[in-house]
Amino acid sequence: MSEVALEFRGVTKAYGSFLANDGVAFSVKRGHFHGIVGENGAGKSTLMKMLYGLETPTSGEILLNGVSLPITSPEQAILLGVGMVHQHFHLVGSLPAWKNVILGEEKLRLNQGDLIAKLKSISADAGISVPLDVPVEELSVGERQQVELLKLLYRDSSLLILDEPTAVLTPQEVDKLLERLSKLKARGKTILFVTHKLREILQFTDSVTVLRHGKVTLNGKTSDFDQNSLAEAIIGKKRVMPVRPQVAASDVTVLELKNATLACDVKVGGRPLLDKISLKVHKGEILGIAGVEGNGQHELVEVVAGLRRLTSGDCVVSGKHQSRTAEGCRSPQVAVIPPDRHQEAMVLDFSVWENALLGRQHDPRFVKKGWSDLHAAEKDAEAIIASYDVRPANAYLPIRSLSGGNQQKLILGRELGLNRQLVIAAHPTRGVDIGAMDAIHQRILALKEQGVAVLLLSSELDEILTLSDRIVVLYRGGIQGEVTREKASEKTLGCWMMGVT
Amino acid sequence: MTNKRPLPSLLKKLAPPVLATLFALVVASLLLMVVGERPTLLAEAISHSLFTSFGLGYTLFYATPLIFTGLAVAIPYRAGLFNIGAEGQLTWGAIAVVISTRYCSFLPAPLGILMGIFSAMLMGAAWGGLAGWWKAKRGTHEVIVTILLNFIAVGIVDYLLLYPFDDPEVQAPQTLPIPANFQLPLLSDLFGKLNLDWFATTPVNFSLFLAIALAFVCQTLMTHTPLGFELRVVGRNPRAAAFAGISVPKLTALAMAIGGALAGLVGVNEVMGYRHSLIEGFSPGYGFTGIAVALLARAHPIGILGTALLFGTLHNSARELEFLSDHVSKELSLVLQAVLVAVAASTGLGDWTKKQWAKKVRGKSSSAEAPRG
Repeated sequence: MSEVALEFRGVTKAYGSFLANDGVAFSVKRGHFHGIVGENGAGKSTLMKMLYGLETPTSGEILLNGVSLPITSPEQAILLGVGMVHQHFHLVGSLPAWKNVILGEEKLRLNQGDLIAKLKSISADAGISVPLDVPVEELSVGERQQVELLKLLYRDSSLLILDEPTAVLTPQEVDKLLERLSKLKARGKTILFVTHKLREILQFTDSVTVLRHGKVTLNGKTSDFDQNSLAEAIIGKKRVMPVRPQVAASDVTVLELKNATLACDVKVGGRPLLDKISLKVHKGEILGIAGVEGNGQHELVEVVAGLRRLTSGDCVVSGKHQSRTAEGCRSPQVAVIPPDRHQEAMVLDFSVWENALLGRQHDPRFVKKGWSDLHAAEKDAEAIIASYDVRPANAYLPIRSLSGGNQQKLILGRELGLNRQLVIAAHPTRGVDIGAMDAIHQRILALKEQGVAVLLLSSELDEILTLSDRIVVLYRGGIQGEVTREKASEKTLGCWMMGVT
Repeated sequence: MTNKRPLPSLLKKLAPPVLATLFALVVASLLLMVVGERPTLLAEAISHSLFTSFGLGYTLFYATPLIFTGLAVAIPYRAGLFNIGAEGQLTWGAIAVVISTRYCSFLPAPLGILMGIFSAMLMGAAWGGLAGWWKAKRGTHEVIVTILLNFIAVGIVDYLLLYPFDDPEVQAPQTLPIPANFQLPLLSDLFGKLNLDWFATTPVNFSLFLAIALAFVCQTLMTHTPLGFELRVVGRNPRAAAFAGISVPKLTALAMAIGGALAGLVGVNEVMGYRHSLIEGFSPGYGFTGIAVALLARAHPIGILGTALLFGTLHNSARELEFLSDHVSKELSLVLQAVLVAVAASTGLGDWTKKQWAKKVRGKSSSAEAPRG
C-alpha cells in the first residue's frame, strides 16, 4: 500500500467565475493527524465536500491511497473508506446510538446482540464511552459526537474527516476527543481535522495545510510553524494582536443583579433557569461569563437586556430597575449583541442598511419631521461598513448573502454605535475568522476606555481569558465560581464549567 | 460589484398575478363554451367594463371597497398577522357612519363628511384592535378571533338595523336616509360641472379618491416611517424586533387597529357615497374578497390598486354577462375569483417563477451569489 493516504492534485472548484478552490495540491501521509485551517470562505468546507463526494471538482483529481477515482457521492466515499463527522450532526434523535450507527444498513438483518458486542469492542479500543441504547436526543453534544465517530469506525473508515469538531465541546471534552483521535491515529487511521483554532493545530497535528482564498498558502510539518506564522498564512498579513488598555476599573456600578432568580418553565421541570445570581459590573469593566452552553447564559442575556422578567430578585442597569422598563423588549439602557445571530440580531430578509437601522429607527439622526431619513440611514450603514470592514461593501445587498462573520461585524458596529452604558456581548466572535476576531476583540477592549461596562458571554475560554477583567462561571443557572483575570486558569474554569468546585 | 440598489424588477413582481389572471380568464372562457356561449363573450364583457364610461364607473365603484379591505388585510399581513376580520370591521364602520349622522347632523358639509370618515375609521379600528389586543395580551390567534368577531359584528348590526335604527317607512331592515351634509359627491357630479357626462348614472364617488390616496399613504407608511419599519420587522422576525427594543405586543394591536380603520372606510363608500342609508347585509363579502386582493398583490399597497381594479372588473363583467347571455349568471364572477385565487395561491407557480428568476440572476452575476466555504 502506498505511504500517502490522500493527495489533492491541482483541485479547482468554480462556482461561476468564483473559485472556491484554486489548484489545491497537498498530500497526507497514512496514519497522520493532519490539520486544515483557514478563514471562513477560504475553501475548507468545499474541499472536504469534494473529498466526501458532495461536490465534484471542476478540474484536478483526488487520489486515495495513490489511486485516482472520481468520488461522485457520499456512498461511494464511504465505500472508499472516507468517513466524515459533520459540524451539524446527522443523527436521528429518537433512535438509540446503535440504531443510528447502522442507519442505512437495516436491510442486512444484523443480529442486535452481535452488533452491540461489536460496537462495544470498537468503543473500548477507541476510548469511546457512550450509552448505546439511550435515544440520541438524550445524550450531550459531546456524546453525540462520539456516536458519529463510532459510526465511522463501525464502517471501518480509514480516513476520518472532522469538520470543526471542537466548536461545541468544553475544554475537558476537547482534550478527551483529541486523546481519542491520537489513539485512532496509532491504529493507522488518517485524520483530517478542520478547525480555526490554532492552539489545537499546534498541540495535536502532525502536519498542517492553510487555505486562503481557495489556495494553499502554507503546507508542511506542524513542528516547523508557530502560532504567528500560521495566523499570518491564514489572514495573509501580519497579525495585529488586540492591545489591552491600561484603565483601572472604576467602582461605579452599571449593572447589578441581586439574587436574580428565574423559575423554570413548567414543561421543562426541575431546576430554575437562573438560580440566585448576584453580580456587579462596573464602569470600564469587562465581566466574562463562562460556561457550557445551556447553563443559563441565554436567560441571563434576556433578563439583563430587559426581554424577560425575573421571578424574584432584582436587576438594575444604570440605576434603573428592570421592573420599571417596558416588558418584553430590549430596554433603552443597553446595547446587545444577541446570542443567536440569525434569529435575534437581524432580519434576514432585509437589506444590510435596513439591518443597520434596526433598533435605531427612532434615533433623531434617522428621523426628519416624523419621516424616516432613508438617505441618512444608508449613509450611516455605509459608515459602519467602512469602519468595520464589512464585506462585500454594499449596503443594498440582502444581509442573507453576507457570511456570518461579516453579518456579525455589522451588528457589532450597529450596537456599539448606540453609545450605551452597558453592552451585552454574547458570543461576539462566533463563526468569525482570526483577522476579524482580533479586530472585534480590540473594539470590545476599547469600550473599557470609554467607560462602558461589558457583560461578555462566550463558550470560548480563550476569548473569555483574553478580554475579561473578572470571570464568572455559570453552571445549571447558578454561579459556580468567580475569579479575577490574573488568577484565572483554564483548568479551574473548566472544572467549574463541569460543576466541580 | 456595483454599489447600486438592485432594481426591483417589475416583471418579477407582476408575472405571477398576470399569469394567474390570464389562466383564470381562459378557464372561464372554456366554461362559457361548455354552456354553449361564444368563448369571446367574456372578453366583450370585460372590454365593456373597462372601456365604456358606464361600465368603468361601476367597475371603479366595485373596486373602491376592495381597495379599502385589501389594505385592511395587507397592513396586518406585513406585520405577520392575518386579518380575516375585515368583514366585521367594515360592518362596524358602516354603522358608525349612521350613528355619527344621527348625533352630529348639525355639522356643515365638509365637517360632516370628515366626521363620518373619522367615526368609520374609529369603530373599525376598535373592532380590529380588539383582536390585536387579545393576541398581544393572551396569545389568542387572530385568525380565530377575527372570524368569530365577524359573526358578532354582523349580529349586532343586524339587531341595530331591525330595531333602534330601522326606517319604519321601508319594509326591509334599513336606516333612515342620512342628511345631505354627510353625502359624498359622485364623480358624475364633478364631471357634470365640467359639462362632461363621464360616469353618468354610476355610483362611483369621492371615496375612490380617498381609497387611492390611502393606498399611497399606506405605502409611504411602510417604507418611509419608523412605524412602518417596525411593523415590517415584527412581521419578518418578532424575536429580532424584541431585541431591537420594539414592543411586539403593542405593534400587534396597532397593526390590527390600522387594518380595522381601513376596513371601516367601506362604510363611507356604501353609506355616504352610494346608498345614503344602511341596509342589512350590504356587503357581498368585501372583507373576504379583500384577502384575495391583498394576497394577489403580495400585500403591496400600490399593487392593491391594481388587484382591486381587477376584482372590480371581474365582478362587473360577470354582471354584464348576465345581461348578454341567458346561460350565465353573475355567480360566474365567483368562479373566476376562485380560479384566480387558487392559481395565485398555489405556491408552485410562485416558487417556480422565483427559481427561474434566480437562475437568470445567477447566470448574470455569479460572483455575488457564489456559495461560501
